[in-house]
Amino acid sequence: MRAFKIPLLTFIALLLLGVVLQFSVNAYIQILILQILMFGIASMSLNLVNGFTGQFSLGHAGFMAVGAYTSAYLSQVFPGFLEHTHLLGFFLFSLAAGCMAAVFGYLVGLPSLRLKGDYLAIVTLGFGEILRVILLNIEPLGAARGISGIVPYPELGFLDRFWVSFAYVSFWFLICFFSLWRITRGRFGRQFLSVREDEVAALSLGLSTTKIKVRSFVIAAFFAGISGSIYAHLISIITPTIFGFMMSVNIVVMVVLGGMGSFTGSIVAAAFMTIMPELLRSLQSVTGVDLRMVIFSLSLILIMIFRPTGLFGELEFSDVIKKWKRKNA
Amino acid sequence: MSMLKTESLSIHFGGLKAVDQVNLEIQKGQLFGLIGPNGAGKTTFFNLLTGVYRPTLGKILFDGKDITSTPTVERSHLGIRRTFQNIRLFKGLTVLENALIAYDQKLSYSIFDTFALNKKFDSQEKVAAEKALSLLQLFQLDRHVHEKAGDLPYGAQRKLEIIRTLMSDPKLILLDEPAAGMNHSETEQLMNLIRKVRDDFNLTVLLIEHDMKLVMGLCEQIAVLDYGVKIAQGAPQEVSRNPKVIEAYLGLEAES
Repeated sequence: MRAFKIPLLTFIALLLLGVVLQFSVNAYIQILILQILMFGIASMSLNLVNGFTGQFSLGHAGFMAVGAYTSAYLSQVFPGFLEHTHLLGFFLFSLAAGCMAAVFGYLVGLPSLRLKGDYLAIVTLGFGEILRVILLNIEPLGAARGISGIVPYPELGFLDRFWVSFAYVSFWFLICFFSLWRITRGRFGRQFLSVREDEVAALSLGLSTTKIKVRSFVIAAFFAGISGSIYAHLISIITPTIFGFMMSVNIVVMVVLGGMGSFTGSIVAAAFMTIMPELLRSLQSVTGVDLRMVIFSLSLILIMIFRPTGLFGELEFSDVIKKWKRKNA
Repeated sequence: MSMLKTESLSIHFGGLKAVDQVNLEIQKGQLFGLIGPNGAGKTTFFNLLTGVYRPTLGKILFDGKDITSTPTVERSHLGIRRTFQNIRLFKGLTVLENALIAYDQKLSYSIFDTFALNKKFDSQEKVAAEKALSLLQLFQLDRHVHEKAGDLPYGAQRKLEIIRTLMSDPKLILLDEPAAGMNHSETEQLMNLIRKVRDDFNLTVLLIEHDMKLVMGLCEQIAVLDYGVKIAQGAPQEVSRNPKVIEAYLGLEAES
C-alpha cells in the first residue's frame, strides 16, 4: 500500500486545489494551469531521454502529434463512446494515444539510437518534420485543416468542466511523475544513467546499451502521446503545424532550463515557459511595442548564464529543500 | 581445468599485427600476469578477450566454451569482467551507484515492480546494497559511499573499478594496470586485496601490469608479449631471467 499512499494523497490534494482554482481564478488562468500540467508531462518525459539517458532528442512534439491525432481521430470515429463512458472513454483514448506514440518511439528509436549526439538530434528532428509533412497530406486526418471540434472533457453533473479537466489532467500528470520518479530510482534508472555516463563501461558490465536507450525512448514517447492526447481535448483543435519544430524546441528548453535529470525542475520550467510569455503580454500596454519575445529570450539567456546546469541542476525539489535546510541549520 | 584458453589468437589492423598467434592457457583460480613493453598488444589482447574487437584468426575458449564470436554483453554475463587502463567510471554518479550498476544482471525485478515498490523490489535492492557495501568496506572505500566517483582520488578510482568487476560474482576478471598511479604502500595493499578476493570469491585473475614488483610478487604465472607475439611464459623467476624478455625490456647489450 506504501506505493499508492503518497500519489493518492497528492491526487486528493490536487482535487481540492482544483476546487479552489475553480472559484478563485478566471477561465484564462485556468486554461494556463491545464497547459502547464500538459507541458509538464511532455517535458518530464523528455527529461528521461535527454537528462537521464543522455540522448539528445529533438522530436518530442512528433510523438505528441501522434498521440493528439490518435485521440482526436478516435473521438471523431466513436463520438457516442465518449458520451456513454464519460471519463473512462477519455482514459482509454489517452491510453491508446500513448501506446501509439510508444510504437512510433520504438520504430524511430531502434535504428536511430545507434547514433550519438548531434546525429541523433538531427534524426529525431527529421522524424518530427517528416511526420508533420505526412500529416499535412493525409485527407482523413484533415490534412492542413487538422481536426477541429474535438470533444472537450465533459461536465459531470454539478462538477464544472474546468474541475473535471483539471482532475483528469492531474491524474495523468501524477501517473507520469511517479512512474518516472520510481523508474529512475531502481535498477532501470541506474541503467539509463550508466548509458549517459559511459557506454563502453556499461557494455563491459553486461548492459546492452541500445536496449536501454530504446526503453527510455519508448517510455518518453508514451507519455508524450498522453500529453498530446490531453492537448487535443483541451484546445479542441489540432493542426500539423502546431506540433512542429518550435514545440519540440520549447520542450527541450523546458528540460534544459529546469535541469537535465530533474523532473521537478522540468515541471517548474514548464510553468515558467507557459506563464512568462503570457505575463509579458500585459507589458505591451506599457511599452507600446511588442517586446514580449525579446524579454522572454533574454531572460532565458540570463538564466543559462547564471545557472548553466538549469534551475535545479540534477537535484529534485526535495533535494533542494534538504540542502537549504542543512545550510540554515 | 583451464578457465581461459586462446588458440593462435590474432588480430591484424591492416599490416600491423597487434596480436599474433598467441596461445595462452589460464588455469582456474590462477593469478596470471601479462607483461610486455609499451605497445606490445596487451590491452588489445584484453579487448579481444572481452569482445571489443573480433579476432582476425584464432579461437577463445572460456570455461570450455567457444566464445570467439560472443558479443561483449554476453561475455560479461558469462562471467568475464574487466577494468580499463584509462579508468572508465561513471564519474557523475556516486560510488555506491557505480557498484550497484555492476550488479544489474543479478537483479530480476521488472519495471512494474519499481512502480509498485513491492517486496521483490525492496528485497533485491537490499541484497544489492549489502553486497556493494561489503565490497566497499573490503576495499576501504566505505567512507566515500555517497561521494561522486569522479571526485575520488586516483587510487580509490582504480579500486572502485575493481569493485565493479566483482559485484556480480564473475569467474574471470581482467585487470588492466590496476596499480598504475599508486604509491608503494597502496600497491602493497592492492596486492593483498587481489590475492584475498581471488581466494574468497574463487576467481581467476588476469592482469596487465607495468609495476614489476606487483607482478613478480603476486602472479603465479606470467606471459610476456612483445610486438604482439608471446615471447615467454613461466613462473616469475624463470621469466625474469629469460634473455628474450630482458632484451625486449632493456634492449641488447651494446658490443664493446
